[in-house]
Amino acid sequence: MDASWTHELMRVRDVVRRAAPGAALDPRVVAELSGVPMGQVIALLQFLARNREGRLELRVVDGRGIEVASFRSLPEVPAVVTDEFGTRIAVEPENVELIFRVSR
Amino acid sequence: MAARTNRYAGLRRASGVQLKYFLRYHRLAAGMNDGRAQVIQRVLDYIETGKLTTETVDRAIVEFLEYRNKRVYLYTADPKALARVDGSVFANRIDTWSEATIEAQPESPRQNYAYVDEGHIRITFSETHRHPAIRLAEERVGWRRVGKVIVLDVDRASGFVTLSFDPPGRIHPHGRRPLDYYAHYRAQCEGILGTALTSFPLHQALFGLEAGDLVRLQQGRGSTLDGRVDIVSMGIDVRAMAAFQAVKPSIAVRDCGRYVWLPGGPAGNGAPHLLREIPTEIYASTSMVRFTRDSVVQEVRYVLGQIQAHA
Repeated sequence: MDASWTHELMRVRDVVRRAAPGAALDPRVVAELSGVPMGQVIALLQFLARNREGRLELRVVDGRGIEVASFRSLPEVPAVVTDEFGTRIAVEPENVELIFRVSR
Repeated sequence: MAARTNRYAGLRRASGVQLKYFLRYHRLAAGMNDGRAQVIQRVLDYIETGKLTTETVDRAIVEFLEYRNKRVYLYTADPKALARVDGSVFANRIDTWSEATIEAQPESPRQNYAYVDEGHIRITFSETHRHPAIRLAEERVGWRRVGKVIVLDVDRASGFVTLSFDPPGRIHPHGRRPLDYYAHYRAQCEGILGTALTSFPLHQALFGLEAGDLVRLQQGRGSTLDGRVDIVSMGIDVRAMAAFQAVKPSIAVRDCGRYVWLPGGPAGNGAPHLLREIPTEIYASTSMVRFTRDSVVQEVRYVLGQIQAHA
């Protein structure tokens, strides 16, 4: 990683470490709280993922924002997911979120 | 006579609410208690008496399909690339709105028309999806064909681009998932415009709207470091709730909410911007505005214009 990004990395890492282990962090929240632009935040979260401080996931949420399933890439996301109560949810763009899962 | 028959058929595809508000936005008596057939006749009579031009009505017939209950995705694009788009390459290019037609249920996806001028590009696509239809009396499940209209609207100077979709059916021509339908048209439009479409940033707009009085906020969802906060109003506006003011400082970004646009405010021609409340759902994460009522073009333009102004 470019050394000039060290300061931004510290700010992003600080936000990530304030989150509970196992939490799903929205990169936009990290960007807002760290004051680092969104593009850089994604790049830095990838760096943290390589350091096993968490991992990037695509998760599918229901209409209330509750997580139903998570996937590694967009082609893996199915047309329909079923939640733990048996409700079938058609996956629209608004149901798919990129999150950073903080390591436990 | 043929033109009148075509116009009658076109107006029949609009809902009664759309027809009535189309007339009201043109400051004409709309017969709000009349049935749809009577309102269609009223529109045709206005043409004959010269109160509405054929151009205005022909354009409205197309726009009724293009602006009704859409999911509108907002993007920005490079204005320099948009300035390079050459209108002559479009096979279905039109010069006047009277030439604009939309095939409601085509056999295969098609581009209906392209309207291109110095400041603006609009291209309309349509296709047919299938929804499952259950006939309880016959104990049979069949398929219902439903036409879908997709509209690309581009402001060449500002680079503000909208892509409006009807919600997808269970079976559509672009893959097995709803996501494939949206991705297909986004990719196609990027190809046509010769530039990438970047999601329009909506978070500041939602903050701005929340601080103003253009909307009332029925429900709002925000993200904090620890998770989501969902606030639903039992009254007319969540901002009146003490709980909302209490959680507001901890919300880092607005995710989505139900924003009901309030009528009022004089427009250029002396008529109000909005004649009725317009409910919308706004999703900042995907830069999408969903219109949940039989909206008309004036209402959609007002809402999108205000969002753009607040961003």
